[in-house]
Amino acid sequence: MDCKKRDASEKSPPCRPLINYAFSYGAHEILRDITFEAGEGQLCALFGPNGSGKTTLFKCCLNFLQPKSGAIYFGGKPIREMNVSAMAKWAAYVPQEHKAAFPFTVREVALMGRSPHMNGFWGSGNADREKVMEVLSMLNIDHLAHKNYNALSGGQRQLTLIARALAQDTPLIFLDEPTSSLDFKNQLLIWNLLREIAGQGRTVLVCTHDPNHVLWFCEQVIVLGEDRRVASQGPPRRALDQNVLRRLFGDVCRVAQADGVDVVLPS
Amino acid sequence: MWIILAAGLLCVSAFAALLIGAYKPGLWETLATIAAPQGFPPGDERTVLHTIIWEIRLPRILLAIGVGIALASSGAVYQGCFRNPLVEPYILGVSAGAAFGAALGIVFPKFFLSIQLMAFAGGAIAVFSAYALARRNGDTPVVALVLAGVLIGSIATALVSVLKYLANDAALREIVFWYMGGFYHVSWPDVRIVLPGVLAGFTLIWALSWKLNVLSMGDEEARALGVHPERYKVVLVALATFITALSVSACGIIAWIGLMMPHAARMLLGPDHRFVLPMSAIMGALYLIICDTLARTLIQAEIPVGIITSLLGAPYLLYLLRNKGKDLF
Repeated sequence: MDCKKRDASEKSPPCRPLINYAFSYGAHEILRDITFEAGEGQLCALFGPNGSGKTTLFKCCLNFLQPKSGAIYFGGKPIREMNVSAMAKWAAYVPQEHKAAFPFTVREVALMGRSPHMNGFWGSGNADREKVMEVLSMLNIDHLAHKNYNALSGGQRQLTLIARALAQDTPLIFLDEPTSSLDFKNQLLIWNLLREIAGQGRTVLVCTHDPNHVLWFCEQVIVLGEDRRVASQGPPRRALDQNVLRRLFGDVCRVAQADGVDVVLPS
Repeated sequence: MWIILAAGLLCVSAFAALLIGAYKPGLWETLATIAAPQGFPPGDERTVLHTIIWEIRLPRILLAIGVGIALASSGAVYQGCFRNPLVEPYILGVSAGAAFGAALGIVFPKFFLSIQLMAFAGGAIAVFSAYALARRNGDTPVVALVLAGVLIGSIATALVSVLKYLANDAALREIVFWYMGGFYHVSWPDVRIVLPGVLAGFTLIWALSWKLNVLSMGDEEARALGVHPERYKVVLVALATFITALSVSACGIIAWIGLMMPHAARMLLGPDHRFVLPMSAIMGALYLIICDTLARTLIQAEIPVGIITSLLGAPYLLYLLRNKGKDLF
């Protein structure tokens, strides 16, 4: 994805998202003082224990919620001022795998990703259908194209939703706990796929609560603590070390090394 | 393919319905009559047939087509927008709400000028209240929405009864006949109001059918896919309520079509609303012509068509619940 082409009119601002924000819901302050910048082609994790406000932050990044103060910028533009269709050209959203209300086929679900690019009322054109088949074969699920999405396994449904996000063809992809309901093999499959996608120049931001996945696969991490502040941020090796984990979880785990890779083990 | 076949069937059955009835004209006579819209010279024996075809059966069949399209496609729209395969105008209480609005217009013609607009207002209030009642924490459970619709429908039905009690004799007679759900009083003015309105409404809905697919994935996903959820839901639900209100104000409450037809269309063509909408509209028209022809030919007197559609439709819901329950909840 060539982000500079997208903004040819301006002096090619970086396509990376800049997050600078605080969020309150009612009287309770949920998050505060977060400043974060993700680079192009990076796989970034948003990590934190349950209740740390990472879902709220995540939803703010997609304009589902509005931060009370602060702002989130994509390519130098505040997303608060973007309308729904402009947002859909910047960021794709991959929800946790779910069942649809109607038994759509895999191809139809993926084709929905083309919606922001469709002109006119009727919907998809030939170019859209070709793009979708291209994405499905890239993810090796083209043989499922005409299968009922609701009847697939959880991993296949998650792959379909990722295919939809890729078909949307945005510089940013946001994933909400993409591996939390999958078996081990599918977890590794999805994470390796996300690295590959980031390698193609897209910025991928993943909400997760597994520290090992962050250490093994991500290049950047924002760690949210229970005090609803950023506990640390940066490359996972540094930002998710023994001290940070102890602050977050107490003495239940430690960081060890295996084959040069950091592993979080129970202590 | 299925759509073309269904459209062909619709034409055939609409023509067959012209031939069937207490008076049974021959095929060629009927064709000659249709070809002569200005009528035959007085004294010609074909004049009776002309009246039957042009003044009684044709408007009736055209209205049945309009109402069938309206109820079936609005059922598909409600199901998509609310992500709920069990809702339709009758279950959501929209029909009853529209009936209450129309009854207000009939009883107090001085205050409320247009029966159709009153029906639309009543239907819109009903669908909004049912949705608001069922919504909890940003989620609308399938069963909660059905129950809320039943609740709203029963309130609106009670209000119609209050109006019947208040109405003078002429208005009461009008309400009772209209409310039973039938086509016996159909005249050309009804057709002229309902058919163009329904066709226009349906065309707009059909144009938004891809957006309806995206909306059925849920609000957040629709937003992320560039389809403004609130805005398009309001437009689609308003259009569906509008065509429902038109048909309710012409022929009272006819239940279940909005549930049965979209389901049958999905079984044949899959869930893509670009195909489900035209298919269920055509099947709704076809079904209503068949039911109405049965209604006026089964026994000597005429059965209100609403009774026939309910007798066939309620078991269909039972079948869905028993056999497809797992997929629905």
